[in-house]
Amino acid sequence: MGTAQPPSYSRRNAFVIPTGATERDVFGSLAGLYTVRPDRTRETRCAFFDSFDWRLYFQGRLLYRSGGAYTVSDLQMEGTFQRLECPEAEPLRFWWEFPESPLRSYLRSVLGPRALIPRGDLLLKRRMYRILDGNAKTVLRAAIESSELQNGGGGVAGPKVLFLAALRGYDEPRDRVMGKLLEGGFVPPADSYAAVLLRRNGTTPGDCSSELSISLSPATRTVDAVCRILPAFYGVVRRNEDGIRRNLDVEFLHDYRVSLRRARSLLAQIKKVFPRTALEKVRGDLKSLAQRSNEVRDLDVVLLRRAAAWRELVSFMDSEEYRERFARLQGFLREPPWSGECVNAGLPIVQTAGRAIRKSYRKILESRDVISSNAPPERIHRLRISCKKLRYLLEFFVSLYPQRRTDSLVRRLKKLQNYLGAYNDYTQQIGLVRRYLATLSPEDSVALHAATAGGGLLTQLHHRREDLRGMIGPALARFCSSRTRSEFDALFRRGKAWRLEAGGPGA
Amino acid sequence: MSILAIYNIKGGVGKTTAAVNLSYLSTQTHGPTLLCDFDPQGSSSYAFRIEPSKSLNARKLLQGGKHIQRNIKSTDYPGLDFLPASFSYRKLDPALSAKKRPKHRFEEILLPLRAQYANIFLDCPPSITLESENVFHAAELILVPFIPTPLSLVTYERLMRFLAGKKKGNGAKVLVFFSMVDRRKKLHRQMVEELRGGDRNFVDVQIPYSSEIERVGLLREPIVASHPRSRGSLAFHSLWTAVQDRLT
Repeated sequence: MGTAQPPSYSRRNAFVIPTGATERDVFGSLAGLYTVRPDRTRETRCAFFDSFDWRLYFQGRLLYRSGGAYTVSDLQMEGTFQRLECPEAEPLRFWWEFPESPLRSYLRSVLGPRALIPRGDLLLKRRMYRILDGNAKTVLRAAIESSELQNGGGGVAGPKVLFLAALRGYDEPRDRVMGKLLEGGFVPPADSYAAVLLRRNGTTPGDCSSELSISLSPATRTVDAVCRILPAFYGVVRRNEDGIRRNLDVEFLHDYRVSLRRARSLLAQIKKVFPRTALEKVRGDLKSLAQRSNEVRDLDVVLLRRAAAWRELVSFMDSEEYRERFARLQGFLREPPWSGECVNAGLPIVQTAGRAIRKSYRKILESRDVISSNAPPERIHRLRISCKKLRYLLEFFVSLYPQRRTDSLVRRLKKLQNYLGAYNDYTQQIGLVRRYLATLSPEDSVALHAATAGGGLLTQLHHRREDLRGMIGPALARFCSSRTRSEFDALFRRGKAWRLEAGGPGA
Repeated sequence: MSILAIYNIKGGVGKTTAAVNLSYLSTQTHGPTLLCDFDPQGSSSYAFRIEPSKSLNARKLLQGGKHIQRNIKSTDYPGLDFLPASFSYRKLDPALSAKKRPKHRFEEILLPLRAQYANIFLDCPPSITLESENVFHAAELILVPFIPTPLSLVTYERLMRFLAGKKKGNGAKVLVFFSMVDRRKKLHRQMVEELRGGDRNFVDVQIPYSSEIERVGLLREPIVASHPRSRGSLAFHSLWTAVQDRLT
């Protein structure tokens, strides 16, 4: 048995205290029934962690470190599922850094290879009260909790909540007090404690991907549509910079790069919207930003020699050049340049988008023979890029079309892309092993062993890559079938400009 | 998990004070603790400001189960629960006589509570009755407060004779501590000197006769909580250490 437990303040017996309400407002209605006596005050600091993609949160769990112990609780910070004393000075990042324990096993099952990222520090202040009957006997305990989420850039006040801790044998006073509070207009919290805190902090769990969620009207001018989409990508780029600098998780760099690529893809595929010379500059900037992170990303895949490449990237991100390039990108959006060649700029976006999607799909259709003809990996790589471009277009303009129909197309495309992506990963790894083998000296006996091992690895990688070719075939055939073709035609054909009058995707 | 009875044939020897303070200390060191007030006078109930139970009576107490569970109340001290007394406990002996295995009824009704608490304390009424025999069987340790006077010695010897004549081993459960010791009185000093070390049931712990301890009844709080640095409080800490040593 452990030592005396503190009273369990249940968030199930909790009431939201409106901003500005005083202690008197809260307990005023109890006058004449009970005496409310202030007890002690307690301050607790908790540092919260979750993965890049909020895996714990989506499992309905919070992980926090407080007073040298890690705790996994529910989203109300109430039920403790796992607890581990861990007096390490530095927070642990991966599940395998935790000592052998049920908490470690749990993190292993949920996090996999993902790192734990600091999500903010919470300062909890609890003022306790004892509610006494006529005998001065405590019949109920209460606590008013205020909190502040500190996330580096300042604090955000959390919800102020009143908790009641019922005492054994004193259900009646608890029910009476709860009744009085409800009569007084105090209501139980509608949402989980964690959700309220995060909302106040402006954080949306799961808001980690570079997925686009911009709703466009079909009649929006193309230039306006492009100028609305691009800032969303730039926003994702900026949001991920901190994660890259602090080397928290490889996924930050991934999303950073995806957003740059998407921005470039949009500018490349929606043509004749900006003057060529101005556009080239912007695309050059985007390309340069992406290129500087190539090496870190390549080394992420095989986890070799990454540290040096990462340091180089971070120093670039801190450089004047980086700031200038970004300033240029932003300036371009503030005043989009125009000249006579920008014939598409004023057209409704539904028209330009449809045309670009049809063209992109046509390109994939033209590569249909890529499997049957035993094409070299370079052609499969080009097919992968074409698919990626089409996917981006479908995502950029998803708000213009009925979602159920685009979803079905995206699902098929995604499957094909997964195979193509895995094929590409193997190609990359084969290239890397080959480059490594080329550096080995034939005189060195250790190098000879490395060469033998490298040769074995190459054979394995080749086999696996060729197996994938067999899977790409059927997926590509499905995506190029007459059924899919007619679906593309029906959704994106030229005549679909009628949607302008019919009122958009819902029609 | 242990059941500890605070018992003496004599009244007014500091049983309730010991029960209240030791149960509080048990909560601090061992976790959830229950104090059962079996004395119809309800002194412990008064000390914890808990009203004697209206729904619990001698008959229901001996039925145990839900009748006990429903009547357990939290004290003001987290982790310390309390089963209040009922005035009808004065009729416990006739009720016990009507039961099968009348000397073991307490053992049976306390059994389900063993899983819920780290320690259970029994504050017993002053007498030597069937109820007392139940307490002797149920408890792992019988704590006897002893005022250092010759009359107390007579009562103690009577108790030991009684226990020796009953079940074997019950005598070994007894732990005697000096209670209400007034160091100004020569008699008290002499008795303490004579008995400590002489009888292996005695522990060398002296709960002083002090105004702070007397005020427990007025403050209605354990002295170990209200005056943690007082002489009385320190003496209860020593007593609790001695009790733990004996239990291990």
